Amino acid sequence: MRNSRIPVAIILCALLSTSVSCGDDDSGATGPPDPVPGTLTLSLETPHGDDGAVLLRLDGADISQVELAAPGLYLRFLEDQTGVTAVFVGDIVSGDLLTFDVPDVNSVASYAGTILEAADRSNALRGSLAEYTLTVAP
Amino acid sequence: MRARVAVLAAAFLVAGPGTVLAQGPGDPTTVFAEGLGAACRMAFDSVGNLLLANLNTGEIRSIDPAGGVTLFTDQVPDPRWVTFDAFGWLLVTSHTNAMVHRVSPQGEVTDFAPVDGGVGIVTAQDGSVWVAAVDTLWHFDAMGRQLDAIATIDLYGIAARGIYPAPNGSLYLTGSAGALWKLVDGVAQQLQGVHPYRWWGLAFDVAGNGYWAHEGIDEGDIDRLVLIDLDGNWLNEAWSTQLVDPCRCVFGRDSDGTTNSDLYVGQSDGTIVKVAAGSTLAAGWPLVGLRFSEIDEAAAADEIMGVPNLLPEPTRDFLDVIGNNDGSYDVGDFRAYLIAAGVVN
Repeated sequence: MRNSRIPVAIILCALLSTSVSCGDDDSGATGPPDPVPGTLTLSLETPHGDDGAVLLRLDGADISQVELAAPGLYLRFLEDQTGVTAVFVGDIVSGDLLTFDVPDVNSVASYAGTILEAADRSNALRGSLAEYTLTVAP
Repeated sequence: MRARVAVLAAAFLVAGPGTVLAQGPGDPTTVFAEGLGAACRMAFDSVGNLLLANLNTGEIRSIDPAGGVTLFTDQVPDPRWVTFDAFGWLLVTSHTNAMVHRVSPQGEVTDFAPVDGGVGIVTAQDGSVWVAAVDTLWHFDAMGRQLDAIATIDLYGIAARGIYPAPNGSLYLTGSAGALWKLVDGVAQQLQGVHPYRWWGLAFDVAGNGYWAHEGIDEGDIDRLVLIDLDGNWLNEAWSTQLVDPCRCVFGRDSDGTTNSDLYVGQSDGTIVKVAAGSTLAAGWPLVGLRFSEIDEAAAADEIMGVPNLLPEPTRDFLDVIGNNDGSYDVGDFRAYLIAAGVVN
């Protein structure tokens, strides 16, 4: 079984670009890599310098071990089967907001954050959330 | 049974001076405190102390459950009425300053809202504050912003002085002329006409029974408490008769702030009496309709995060008022809540 696949791998290597590694290990060419459990980080980029509260949604499967990554902020979150909803209060600035564990860090692209509400430090709700950005990265 | 008691009581009452009055269900009364000046302006705080304002001296004193008296503040001139707001601060109407003042638990006095001629004041279920100011009934949100002003004399002929909350959600108004009105959705309905008594003090229990102080004006008038229902019908004309110039009724509060079934009657002679133990028909209806300290932080947070109906609507409205006041409960309001609760700076 294993030997019968070698010619196929060789052919694929020949067809693919040179950026693809074609070494002795043929597993990468024949299926998804093994899951690598690990920690991802959700980071915020805000256009404002006076954010006082943010409500956000983090979508993605099998999230666990959610922890605050921004010291001094208040965090409360609710987990469900499709992600996490979290509220942050304090002097919020651009940077990492929280970390969370996932079964496979290679699936980072399947995790995404969305700002639901934001308020300034006088408690006024932001009229537009368009310039806020949330990023998930290993 | 109630009707029979009322008839018997009425028979004694019409018999005239010199008649020994029948004791009512609230008798015998016992003295709780005395020598305090006219004890007509009082409210219990959230740990069971009775705050009593003296109109003449400007002193507001605190009486602990054991009867110990201390000065709380003397910085509000001419205090006409006292109650507590949702945060546990004392609200005081003052004619001299044409102002409702707010007094912190440490005695610091600030302005809450300008009101000319303010007398009765009460905190509603949503934390908003109503002030009876003779010709106008003022309505403020919990932060002192004006919501409404109802011209009581022009619209209804009411010289509104006393204002009282009830379990049916209505506010009840009394005036110096001794009549009773019920305010329903901002519209006053007269329940009782003018009587020859000063009707200052009214306190409802959670079952909707009203205990009403009748202070006699003319010779031969009978000082007493009358028991009424939510429609103003008299259930017992002599619920308690062992009183001298009763001018205020308030239910006591336990050390955790819960309104209990002990009914206290302030009298113009400077004495505060307590009606017979166990005589009231239910625990008192809270004078402070919403208490900030009872709002659950987790519920406030989870409701923001989409879990519905964890907070009662009046509480959500209150949190919006202390936050950004934009008409709905949102993350800015939650931030304001956390700051007010001391959770964040």
